[in-house]
Amino acid sequence: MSELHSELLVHADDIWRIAIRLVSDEDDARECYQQTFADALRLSATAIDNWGCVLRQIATRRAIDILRRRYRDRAVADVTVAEAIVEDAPDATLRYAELRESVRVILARLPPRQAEAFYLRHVEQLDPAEIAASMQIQVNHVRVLVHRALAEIRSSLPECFQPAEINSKSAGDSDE
Amino acid sequence: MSETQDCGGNDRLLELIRESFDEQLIPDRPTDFVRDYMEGDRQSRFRFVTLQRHTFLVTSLSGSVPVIAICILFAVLIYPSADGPKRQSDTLGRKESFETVSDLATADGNDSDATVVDDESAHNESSGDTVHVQVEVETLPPTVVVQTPTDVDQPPAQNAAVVGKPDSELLKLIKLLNRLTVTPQAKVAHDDRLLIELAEQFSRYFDSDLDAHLAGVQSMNKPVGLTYLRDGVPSERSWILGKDDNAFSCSYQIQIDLLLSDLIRLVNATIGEDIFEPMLDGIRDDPDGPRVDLRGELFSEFEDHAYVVVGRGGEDSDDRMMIAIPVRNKTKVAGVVSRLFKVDPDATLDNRGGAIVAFTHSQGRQRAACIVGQCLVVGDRQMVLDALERYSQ
Repeated sequence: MSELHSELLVHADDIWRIAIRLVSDEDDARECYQQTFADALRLSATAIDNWGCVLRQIATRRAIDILRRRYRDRAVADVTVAEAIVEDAPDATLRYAELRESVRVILARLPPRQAEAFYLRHVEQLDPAEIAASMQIQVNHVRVLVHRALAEIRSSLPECFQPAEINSKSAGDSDE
Repeated sequence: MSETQDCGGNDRLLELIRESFDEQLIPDRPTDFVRDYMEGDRQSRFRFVTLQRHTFLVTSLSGSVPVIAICILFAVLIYPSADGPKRQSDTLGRKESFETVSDLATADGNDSDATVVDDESAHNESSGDTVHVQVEVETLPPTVVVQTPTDVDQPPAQNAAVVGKPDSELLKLIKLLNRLTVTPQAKVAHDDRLLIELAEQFSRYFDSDLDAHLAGVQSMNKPVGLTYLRDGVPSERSWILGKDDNAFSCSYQIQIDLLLSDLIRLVNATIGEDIFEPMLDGIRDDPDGPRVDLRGELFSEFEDHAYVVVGRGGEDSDDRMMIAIPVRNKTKVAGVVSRLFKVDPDATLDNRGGAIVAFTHSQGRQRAACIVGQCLVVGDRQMVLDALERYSQ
């Protein structure tokens, strides 16, 4: 196996995690995972400084493509379809699942680059500079994309996840 | 100041989103398919790409050959000044990037990204499912197959003179496109054997086996709305080709609505930007532009055929191309072409025997566009003028 392939495989776990996190469904995640590496193999190895960032970006883009196909006719999140939820799961688990699914639906509706930038920044927690390098845009542009995405997510999330509601709940929790 | 601080009250929301994804259970990842793929035999490679529930989509990379091929077909038409999409995007009157986050305030009313959401929906409708006959969601009707791949392999006598000379890059792309548009059997059958045969056909156009294999799979995602009919042009339109034995020509059936919807995907993928629809909107809305609605005024006038001629030069780079598309209302289309070129500083309009010919040049290429007979003819300047002359005679 060549050096390139070994280098790619170092990031396999990260790519699988991104795929699963975003698309949730294992079949879709496998498709996303394989496409990511197939895409990467077609890139010029000499032009890539940081394979980790590039692979993450490709995987995110591929996963969001899958989400867009999945949700194009569905505006409302259906968490029971997207994730196998244990019926007697704790409230917090259900709440997290609902939030994840809501975010997926919104990401699918966002312009792809906004969705990519937001996910990489706030879920994968990449630096804006790393995102900028892999998306081949300026750092300020990344911030703009993230900012727009966040504004859209904030306004589109169900009421129970609105910042005011979250803050009041947090305050309530701390009072208790 | 960090973004998180900028977002102020959103801190908790972002934290919650992050936590929710962190909490998600991650199943074991598949085995190292990359290793299997790269070291496996040919059959196993195809198994890798046909494993998925959905058909493998490779087209998003700008290096994909058919994407470029189809873009060549229409880029000449859509970007008559030949500087390509980047130049047109400059006329959109929108900001491509921002110096600071505070620039957002001034850009709210001009968010080009926001217009892309619906386009992408159209893109998904057009691109994904046409190739996935086994997918449960709705499908677009498959493109009609007029000729089998076996027939295509027989070079017609008309183009026999080209055979002895190595194909140029342009000609390779056109021929590759033709092959792609007659391979719907592969997508229906998901048959490894067919895919292998397909890859073997592609292998003559690629330096590496891997590229040929990927192209073979990619052909399952052939362009929608474009069907290769035959080499050559019909006898009643022989003026398109003339008697140039050194030229390659072919005919296509086009379903312009489908093709346009797919071009959104193809052009965007080639350029790496969501640019196609905003560009058309810019051409329509830019006060300094031609103010032409290409969708409504030009594309809607196209008949369902297109003819492509590739003229062979001495060197690869000398190859030239011309496209002829029959139109329903030639007066209307002539007016559209004039308006398109009037605002182009590099273009001139000339009356040649009653036909208004638009000339333009950029990057060393001389191009022209005009109505000849009932066709809109666009392409290399000399080829267009020759066609006009042949038609006049």
